[in-house]
Amino acid sequence: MKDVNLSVTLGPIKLKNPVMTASGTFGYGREFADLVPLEELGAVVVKGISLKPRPGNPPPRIVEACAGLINSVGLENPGVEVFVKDKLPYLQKRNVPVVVNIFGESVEEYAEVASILDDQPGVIALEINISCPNVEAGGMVFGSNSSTAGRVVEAVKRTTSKPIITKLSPQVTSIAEIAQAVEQAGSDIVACINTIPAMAVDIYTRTPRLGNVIGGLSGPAIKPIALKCVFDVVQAVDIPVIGIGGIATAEDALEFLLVGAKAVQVGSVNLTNPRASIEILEGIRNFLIEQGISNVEDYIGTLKVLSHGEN
Amino acid sequence: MKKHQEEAVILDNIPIIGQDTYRLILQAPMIAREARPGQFVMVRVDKSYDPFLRRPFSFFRIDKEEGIIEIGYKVVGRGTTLLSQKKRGQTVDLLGPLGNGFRLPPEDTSDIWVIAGGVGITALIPCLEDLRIKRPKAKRVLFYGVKTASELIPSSFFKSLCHEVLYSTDDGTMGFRGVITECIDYHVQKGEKLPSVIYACGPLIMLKHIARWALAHSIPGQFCLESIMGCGLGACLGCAVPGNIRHGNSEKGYVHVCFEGPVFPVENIRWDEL
Ligand SMILES: Cc1cc2nc3c(=O)[nH]c(=O)nc-3n(C[C@H](O)[C@H](O)[C@H](O)COP(=O)(O)OP(=O)(O)OC[C@H]3O[C@@H](n4cnc5c(N)ncnc54)[C@H](O)[C@@H]3O)c2cc1C
Ligand SMILES: Cc1cc2nc3c(=O)[nH]c(=O)nc-3n(C[C@H](O)[C@H](O)[C@H](O)COP(=O)(O)O)c2cc1C
Ligand code: FES
Repeated sequence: MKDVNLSVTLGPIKLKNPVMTASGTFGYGREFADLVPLEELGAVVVKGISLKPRPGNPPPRIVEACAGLINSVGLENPGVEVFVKDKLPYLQKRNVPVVVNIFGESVEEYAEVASILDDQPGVIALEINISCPNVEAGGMVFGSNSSTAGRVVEAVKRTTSKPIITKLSPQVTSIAEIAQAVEQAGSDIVACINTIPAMAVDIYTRTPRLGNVIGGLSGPAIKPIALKCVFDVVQAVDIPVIGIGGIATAEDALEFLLVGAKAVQVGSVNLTNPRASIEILEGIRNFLIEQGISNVEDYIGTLKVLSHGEN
Repeated sequence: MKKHQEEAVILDNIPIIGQDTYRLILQAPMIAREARPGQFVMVRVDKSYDPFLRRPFSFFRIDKEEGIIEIGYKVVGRGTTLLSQKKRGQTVDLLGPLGNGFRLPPEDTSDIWVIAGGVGITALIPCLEDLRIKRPKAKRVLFYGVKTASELIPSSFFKSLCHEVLYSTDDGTMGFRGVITECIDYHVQKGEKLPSVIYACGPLIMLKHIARWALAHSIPGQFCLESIMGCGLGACLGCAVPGNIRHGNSEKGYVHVCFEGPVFPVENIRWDEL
């Protein structure tokens, strides 16, 4: 077999392949430019951006966990203005498809950031973060409730013509319900999951290991939880789903595609192996060739689930 | 400066002092070519995802011609234990060179103090080498403090690089008895001329004391700092420490050890909050 068609269509956007990088683990792309051919990725999702600059949380901001890490970076960012002036042009010049991850302290702030990004070329979608466990206002308070989640999406939708991805938290009673709410509110795509609220303590000093006391767990440790969330959301909505959480190898990525994710985001493993995203892309291609599948979309969502009793 | 991910062959990995401080000699031509004193590498100590994060280590020796770099490390936990078990001929995955190195002092600098605590000496040796070559007229004094004499690395590593070495040990087994800051006070009181610039690397508590002293005497200084690191590349923002470089118009700024450091001018860190 010659080559495989890796392109995927997620509602209004078409990606040349299903591998993106996850927000907060890949900076603004440029940090990895010596190591990764950025334009070969499906898209680069940049670090979360807010209306005003934010200094982030006090250190320590990172603690290692078993097969992962807990972070409490707290959405440090230079603000949307500086982002557009200093960070985005590099990716635009290189023709890298960009997804901008946005958040706000109020519904209005989300909408304002979105409107500022509306006319930016190269930005193929906005990813609304309503699921960060590390900040008081913004983040998860919006994502843990169907009606507030829907309100954010509606407000953003009104101020931008860009496709909207809504990024969900696993820390809710029913992620499927939240997914349905944001679908109803007009989200074009959903992405799950963000980090899982977590903490670590030092038994000798009797103090928390993170400056912010609590943080979010990510990395291979969370993969099974993420996979279940994606599985649930795929059943619950008609819009495309992006799978995120603990993806470290091509096999991991394929698991998410198998349960129905149209694309994946590679996160924490970028810290361990900066070339992970590109290696995962290669691995997916090789797997499909080996399996004699010429089109990645033919593999997506083909999980065979036996109903009870059948097994 | 280009960053490389390089599978480096271990030429040797042997204890340098006692059983817990090692030198790891690596064939890493791509990284060696670009490396500067004060910069560091992120080492993947294991192929698995546990431990998950890479570990940062400063350059201890850089040999561009031979394509060799060396790091000196102390075994303090899981990652460094795994590293110490690696054998000659095996490989390790490196990422580097990362961060900013030591900056040279002005041409007319007359007196340089290099202040090393514990394993911090390893980052300062290539710095001393650089100073010897590029500021040959300056007098270089090394203050080197450890807990006890058996923790000192052999003097052959630094003897030829400086004019004078002033040791201090907590227990008095070598040189001045007491901590390095007391040793400095002692020499200043004895009439030693204050330096025009200092370079420091060592435990945080030592750096804090020396920073306070340097700021009080208006002596410019370059301090090599540590912090827990995620990526080492400037992407995760996990390595922040309280500092004075302003980002946007945020009131309370942080500096990032991996890309704004690890070497900082003394006045750029808010030492009291560390
Ligand atoms: C820029 C930089 C350069 C460094 N250069 C050197 C060097 O040349 N030689 C050397 O021996 N060490 C150096 N260190 C420290 C070294 O990275 C840590 O000692 C190492 O990561 C510990 O790993 P571990 O798995 O053995 O310890 P862990 O099991 O992770 O932890 C054991 C103990 O070490 C502490 N620790 C863990 N990570 C760090 C860290 N990044 N910095 C400080 N303490 C830590 C923990 O708080 C804990 O108390 C450097 C650190 C930085 C940030
Ligand atoms: C250091 C760090 C910073 C992150 N920053 C953001 C962020 O700014 N916005 C966001 O939506 N998610 C952020 N995330 C979450 C990731 O994008 C991702 O959803 C999560 O880490 C799970 O994927 P993983 O296990 O592959 O890392 C961050 C994660 C990490 C580890
Ligand atoms: S360690 Fe990731 S930004 Fe410094």
